[in-house]
Amino acid sequence: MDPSSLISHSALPEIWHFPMARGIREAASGMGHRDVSAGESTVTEQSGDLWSKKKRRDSGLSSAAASEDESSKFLSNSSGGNDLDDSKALEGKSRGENGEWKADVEASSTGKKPDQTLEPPKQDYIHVRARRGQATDSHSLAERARREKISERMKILQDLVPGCTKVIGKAAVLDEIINYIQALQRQVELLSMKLEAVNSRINAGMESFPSKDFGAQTYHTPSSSGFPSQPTREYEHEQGSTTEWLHMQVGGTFQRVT
Amino acid sequence: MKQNKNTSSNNNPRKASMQTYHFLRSLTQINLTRPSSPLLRRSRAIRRAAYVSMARAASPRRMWTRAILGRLQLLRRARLLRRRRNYKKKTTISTPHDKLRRLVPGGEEMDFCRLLEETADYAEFLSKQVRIMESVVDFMEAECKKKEEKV
Repeated sequence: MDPSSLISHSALPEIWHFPMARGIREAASGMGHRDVSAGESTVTEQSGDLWSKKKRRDSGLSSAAASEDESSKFLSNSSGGNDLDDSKALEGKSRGENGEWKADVEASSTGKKPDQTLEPPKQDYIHVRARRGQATDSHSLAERARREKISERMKILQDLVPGCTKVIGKAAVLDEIINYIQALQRQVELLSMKLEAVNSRINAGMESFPSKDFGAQTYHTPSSSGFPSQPTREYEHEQGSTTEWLHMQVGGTFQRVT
Repeated sequence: MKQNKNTSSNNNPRKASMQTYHFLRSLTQINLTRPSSPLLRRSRAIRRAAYVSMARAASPRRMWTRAILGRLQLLRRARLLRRRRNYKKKTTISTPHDKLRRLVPGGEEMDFCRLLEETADYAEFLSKQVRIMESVVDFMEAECKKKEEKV
């Protein structure tokens, strides 16, 4: 599988966090010509200490040159090397050493837009971009895509775990998640013990088993001291019907058992 | 996007009721089959029932559900699991990743990406299970009190 295809379209804006670039990109994609602005964008690169700007108008030329170029790295997922490849290479705009976009690149790209709208729309490809100095071999690309995925999932988990949104740092978030799950598992354990106790109390006829105090002492601690239990609306309004249903179920149980 | 879909399906009341249904059914099973076994074992059986009902209610495509159900089969077949677990405990290093791996059933075999996804799903079902059990316990206690009053 091509590593670059791991990154979805929707994930792209995140990578592309420079507002200017995004604006251009969006404009281009909105017109159905994603490669339009990029197609005309000049590729700037660093050679030694000097910034030498090479303007490549011809798309075929620029892609060929870009692939040779060490400092400006373009990646395409269609490694077949067809016309898609060209446009992709073009779209990957070289970034300055400090991660700044070259103003002149933008200017030229915006200026040329009208000409480029004639090009056919190419939308069904996904690309991974490498910044200057980043490795472009497939392994590191895949690794980058994986990291993206992981951070995305971490965000989802963060939303799930109560009180986790304020925590900063991956390790701390992981710790929080682990604590949460541990607490839940412990709670399940305690509740099963409690259920057992109540169950046997009912079965044994109450006086033989002093589980009432025992239960009251032990089992209310986790809910009070542990995690802030998330009250969920939908559950509560649903609870009325469920408890009724439970009533039926459990009542039936006891009739059968006792 | 995928996650959103999942959460919406998890919030489905029918699924939640499936979970409670499985759980209660296995509770009655426990009541019927082991009326006289020791307390600890029975509570363990209840806990297992809780996890299994979770796994039954969740999507069978999830790895953690398969791990739970597979573990159940293992338990039934032989007590293989205990040996395995002991073996695993010796070899673990306690980075947070590995901790999480040990917490989520079947986590040892997943890559980290998958692990996070499964964790999210698992946590959701776990919290639901806790709520179900709480309500069952509440109900049973109420029942107890009623009985006491009658007596």
